[in-house]
Amino acid sequence: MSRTDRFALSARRRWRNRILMGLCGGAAATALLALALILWRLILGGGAALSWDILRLTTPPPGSKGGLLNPILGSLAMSGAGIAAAAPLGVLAGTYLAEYGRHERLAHAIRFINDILLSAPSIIIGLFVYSLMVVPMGHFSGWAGALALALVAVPVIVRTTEDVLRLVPASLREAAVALGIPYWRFIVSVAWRSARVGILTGILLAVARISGETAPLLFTALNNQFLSSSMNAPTASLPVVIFQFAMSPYADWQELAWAGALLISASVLLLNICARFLARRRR
Amino acid sequence: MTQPASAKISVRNLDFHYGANQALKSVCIDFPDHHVTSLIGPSGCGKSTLLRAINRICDLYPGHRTSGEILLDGENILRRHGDLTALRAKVGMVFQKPTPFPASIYDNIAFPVGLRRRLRKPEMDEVVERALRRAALWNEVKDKLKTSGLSLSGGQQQRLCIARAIAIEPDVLLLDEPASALDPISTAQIDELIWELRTNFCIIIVTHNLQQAARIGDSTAFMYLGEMVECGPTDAIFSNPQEKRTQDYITGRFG
Amino acid sequence: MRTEPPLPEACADNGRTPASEHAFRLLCRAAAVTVAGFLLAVFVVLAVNAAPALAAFGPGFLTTQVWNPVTERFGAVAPIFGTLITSLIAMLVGVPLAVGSALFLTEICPHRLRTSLIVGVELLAAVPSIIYGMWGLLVFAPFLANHVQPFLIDRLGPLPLLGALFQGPPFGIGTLTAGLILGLMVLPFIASVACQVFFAIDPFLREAAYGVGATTWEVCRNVLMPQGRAGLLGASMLGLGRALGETMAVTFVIGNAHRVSASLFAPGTTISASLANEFTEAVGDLYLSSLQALGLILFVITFVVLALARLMLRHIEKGDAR
Repeated sequence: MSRTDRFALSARRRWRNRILMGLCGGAAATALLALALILWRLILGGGAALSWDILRLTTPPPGSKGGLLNPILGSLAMSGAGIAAAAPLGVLAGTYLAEYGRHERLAHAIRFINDILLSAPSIIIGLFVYSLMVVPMGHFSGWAGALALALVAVPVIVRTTEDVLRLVPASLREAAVALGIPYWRFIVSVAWRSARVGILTGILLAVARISGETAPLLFTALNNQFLSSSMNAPTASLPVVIFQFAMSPYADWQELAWAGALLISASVLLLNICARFLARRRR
Repeated sequence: MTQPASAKISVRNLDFHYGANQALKSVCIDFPDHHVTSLIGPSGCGKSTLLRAINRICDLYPGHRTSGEILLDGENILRRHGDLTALRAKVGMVFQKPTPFPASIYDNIAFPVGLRRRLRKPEMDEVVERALRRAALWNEVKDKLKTSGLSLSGGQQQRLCIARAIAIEPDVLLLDEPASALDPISTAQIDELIWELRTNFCIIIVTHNLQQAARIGDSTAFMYLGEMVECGPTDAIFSNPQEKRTQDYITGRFG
Repeated sequence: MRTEPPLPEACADNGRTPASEHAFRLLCRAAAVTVAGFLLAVFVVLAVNAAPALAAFGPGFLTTQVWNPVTERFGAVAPIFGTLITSLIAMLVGVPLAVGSALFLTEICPHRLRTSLIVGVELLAAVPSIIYGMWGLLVFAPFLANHVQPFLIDRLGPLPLLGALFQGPPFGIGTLTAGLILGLMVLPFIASVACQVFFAIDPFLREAAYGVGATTWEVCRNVLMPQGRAGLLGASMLGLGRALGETMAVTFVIGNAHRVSASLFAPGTTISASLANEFTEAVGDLYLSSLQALGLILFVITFVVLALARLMLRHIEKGDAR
């Protein structure tokens, strides 16, 4: 036996390596291909249906011309109200977990519960808000939708806020405290300030998350054919309209659904890319 | 140099336990006013712990226990409960690594000052300028007070931290290896600064650098394994140590 | 001696913690407790609303298949079965593809492509689930109905035992389609967590294994997979938690039929799809209560799965992949 042979891979090991790593590559290719197909169809279907009318007209009855003005405005209003309620609550709760709760058992329990809320089924949130707001008020409303979206957004903000506040170096905390700065002033003026880009990133991610949510809105905001100026009435949202239109047998409704789907995906991806860009700049 | 009569800080039989470890064992030492005292000793000997006990910065972390006394102007600060911010404003501290806040040079100083005293803008400008002058930083930064404190060099950042600490007019200045993360030129600047500040403060400096201790310390204290082995005038400690352990340390036989 | 006069102390030194400090701490803690309280509140509200149905049908609610709004007889077997079977299919499809992709992305993929592909996978995990559902209904289901299902029914249908899974007309929509769409949806999610798991493994272990002459596969099989086992399991459980509770990706393509069929091509339902389809149109207290009871069951199942997932992933967050 020559020297080189002694160190060569046996044919069996070489082939097993090739086949199995080939399978891994195949898995990645399959996954990326399938997902690329979805995006491709989305761009094709949505792109064909996009026009300025989408932004000018409200949802039509089947067979006539229309757009998505009311669901777009509804989505913006409910997401905006939802995030406005969720952001302060989430940031304060995240601050507790990262600062005051560092040595408390309570914080462990709350962190665990928050992690579960983070991936809890959003339709359950819808059921909860239905019982909490829709039943007592007697009707579906945009405010109920906003509350449901806020409940979906809060855990995301809590988690990211805690994570970025933990990156604030301990030396900064010690320096502030050693100067006789009250702890809460340290948090507000130093910790939040040095983590503000990260906190903003978390809020952006939460916006991205709730702007695509459909299930929590089904039993809360319901839907509305018309443009409504009041969040106290049932309110249309892009995801719910997509759901309704895509399930319908009418071709023009399905086309609008594709357009809406493209709008939503594009804005969600854009928000995610912005969040990433911010996160990178932070480093 | 003889021991001045007035001790600004008196540490009496201080024990410090961290979990199951005892970091300080019955430490006794006096720190006189207007005087620089250097704490020397190998890593983990309790120098920093002693410093952090005087500022009660150790209270940030749970699981420690103290007994004995630290008298600041005759008051035992270990007995203080509740709010420690007044104590900490009286006892300033500067750390090993520069810790400028993520804010402008001006705000780094104005923020802690503003928390304690309501000042109008011209008065605050004056306070900031005076602090920066005393920290020998004014000439380097006077044209860019609005830029971030993080944009300064390491040595400048450390002098900014010292300026920030003295701007609130403490009585005591604790320095925890303030020059160990700096280059030799910055170190020399910091040394000079400390030498000048001693006329106004009771200064305690922890250092690994024996030359630095010899240069700037009026007194030097040698600690080993949580005990205060020996303290006295710097000349005496370096030229004629009474204890064998001190002699071994300063001649480089261990540590 | 001071060169300058001491500044007057403006702060009282009375040793008391100022009210502002207490107030802010209380505010933060109250916010955190509120967040945790949501979970409890959700559980309580669901339990209270589900009580009439659970009282009326007793344990039989979990064992009967009838779902008849006219006679007001309700049983949860079909939606529970549908939820479990679609999630099972999703896991069977999603986990191997996700782990394979993660191994490819972290171990084989050229460095230049790697970052952009991983970012791409993470972005795909953020695509709203309604997109997957819609694509499933309008593109994937017709494709299955025209090209795949007739073939499978012809070839596999006549087989004994196994054949029962492939019976009935090729609708396109049904349990299998829903499971596949779910699998596709959780794939990027599991893959991106799996990538993190592999990256969290100490590079020295990998280098040591290559150093003794192991092939890439042997490194994956004998070092990365055992080291990352708990992390991979946690990632899969997180994916499972999503699949179990997912509404939109399923509702489009499941067919909403309250019955248990052996055939994967038959329409079925899941808990979330039943809720999405029926809740706003349900009339009668018992009907509504039965739907909420379904919600409660879903809540309990996902809670257990997600709690287990978090316990398994806890190690990774501490920087240890095991």
